Amino acid sequence: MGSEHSDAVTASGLPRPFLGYGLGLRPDYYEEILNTLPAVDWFEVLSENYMVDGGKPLYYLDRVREHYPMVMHGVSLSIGGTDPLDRDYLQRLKQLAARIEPEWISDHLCWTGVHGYNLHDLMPLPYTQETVRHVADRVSQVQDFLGRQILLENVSSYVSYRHSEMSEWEFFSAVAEAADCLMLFDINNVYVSARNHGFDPEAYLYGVPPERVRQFHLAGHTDYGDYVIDTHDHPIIDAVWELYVKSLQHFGPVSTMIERDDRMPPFNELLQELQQARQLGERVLQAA
Amino acid sequence: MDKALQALQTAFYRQIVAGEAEICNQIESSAAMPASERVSIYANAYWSRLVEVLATDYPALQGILGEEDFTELGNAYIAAYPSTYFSLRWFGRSLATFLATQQPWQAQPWLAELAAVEWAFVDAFNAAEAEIVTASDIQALAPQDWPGLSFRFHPSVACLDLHWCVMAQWQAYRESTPLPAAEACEPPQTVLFWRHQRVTRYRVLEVDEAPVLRQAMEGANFATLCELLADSHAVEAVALRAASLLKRWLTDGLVCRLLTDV
Repeated sequence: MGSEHSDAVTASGLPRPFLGYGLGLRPDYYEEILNTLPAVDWFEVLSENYMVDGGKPLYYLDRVREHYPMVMHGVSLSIGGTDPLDRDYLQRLKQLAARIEPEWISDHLCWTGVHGYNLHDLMPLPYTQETVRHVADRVSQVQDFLGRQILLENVSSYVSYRHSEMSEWEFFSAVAEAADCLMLFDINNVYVSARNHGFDPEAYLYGVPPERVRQFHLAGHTDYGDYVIDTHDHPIIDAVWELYVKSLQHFGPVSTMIERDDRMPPFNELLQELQQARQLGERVLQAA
Repeated sequence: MDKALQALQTAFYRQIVAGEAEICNQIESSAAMPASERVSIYANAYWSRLVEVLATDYPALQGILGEEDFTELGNAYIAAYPSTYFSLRWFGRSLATFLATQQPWQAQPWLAELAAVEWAFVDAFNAAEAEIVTASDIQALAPQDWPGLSFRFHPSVACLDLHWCVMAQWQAYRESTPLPAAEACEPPQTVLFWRHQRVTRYRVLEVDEAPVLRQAMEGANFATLCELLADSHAVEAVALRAASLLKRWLTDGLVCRLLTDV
């Protein structure tokens, strides 16, 4: 177990770009963001929300982009799916990237549908060597098409498959290595899945290659006692903050953002939560 | 392609949409939670997420039906029209058709029309951008251009013919006032939907305007539109009426291009 601060370099040996502390761009806050230009270092946008022909979403996207760096985060790539990759989707993703020139593009290590039907959910994969090869091959196709590396995010899960051959973090790492892609390390998802499956979240944290981690997600969830659901509708809990501190100690500076998708609070509350992430980050990184 | 993975995904999909339990054999149970309960988290999320999408696109319909009946409708629709596109933007597009063809909703034909109205707003909200033509653009035309003049409309512009007075219901829902009973519209109304300055709008067309606008949207030129107006107006009133309709279309921001046939 290493808790030492690793160097902030990427798999290619180049310094890891650090955007600072960001929030998700959500329609509830469009006007307030443009009117007040808050102290947010960058925004993460949900790619699919802007794959429309026109109207308010694209208008606000362009206006906000004039003031802030952005990254694109998708939910529909279905990188672990068994249907062919959706070329229409990829084309639209590329068009959106050309429009807003994001720092990077991410999606989830999961599948979202089968036989042409879409479940609109982040479905877990079995952790097998065969799945590693399957996913890595598809990531390579996507990276070739987009002409850039992508980030894959670990999802929250509620089931695990009996025929899995490895831990989730071994699987996540093996895919990233085999596909030569980057990682979006969702700290809340690690916590949620650790609770749901009874593993040690720190084992996960110390089990992924730091040089591939490009971004953190923080979020709240709903705790039902026997299980936890990744709802993004509550403030971040202390246990996730603690895991965030350990992640910073282990990975060094990593661009961090807070996801909030439901029960939207006043924007100021999110800014305060982001300030907490910033203060913890600065404290840990200065001490390192 | 990974056949075993495809079989797993198929079994999981069948569990979610049809309650088939086969996938549970592949899933770990724990002391706190058996496999079936774990799988049901995904199934519950699927149905409730898609009903929520429908509620977002059809808020007035949900308000009129009430949450319980709307959920029943939503579940029936999800089963009939499972999502096949990556974006949820299109998921609800067939709800009006579904309501018009399935009992018990078919027996209340105003429900399908209300759904069509709400979907028209969704379409107008998401339509492509286009620069609009202003009154000064049209003043620059030479007199000889007028008879052959035709118009390209903003991509958000659409018309719906309504046989039930659902706009009154929609308006009442929006204003949180008591809902009027569904009444037949006699004659039917034509309602125009569009987006102007990022706001979706609607307007009930006047009886003589509806056929003229529809023809104009299909590319008819100004002379043809005037002939159409001659069916309902005295000859000397036609030019004035045509000019007044055109002025309105321009003020509303409906027209994005003037086409002259020279």
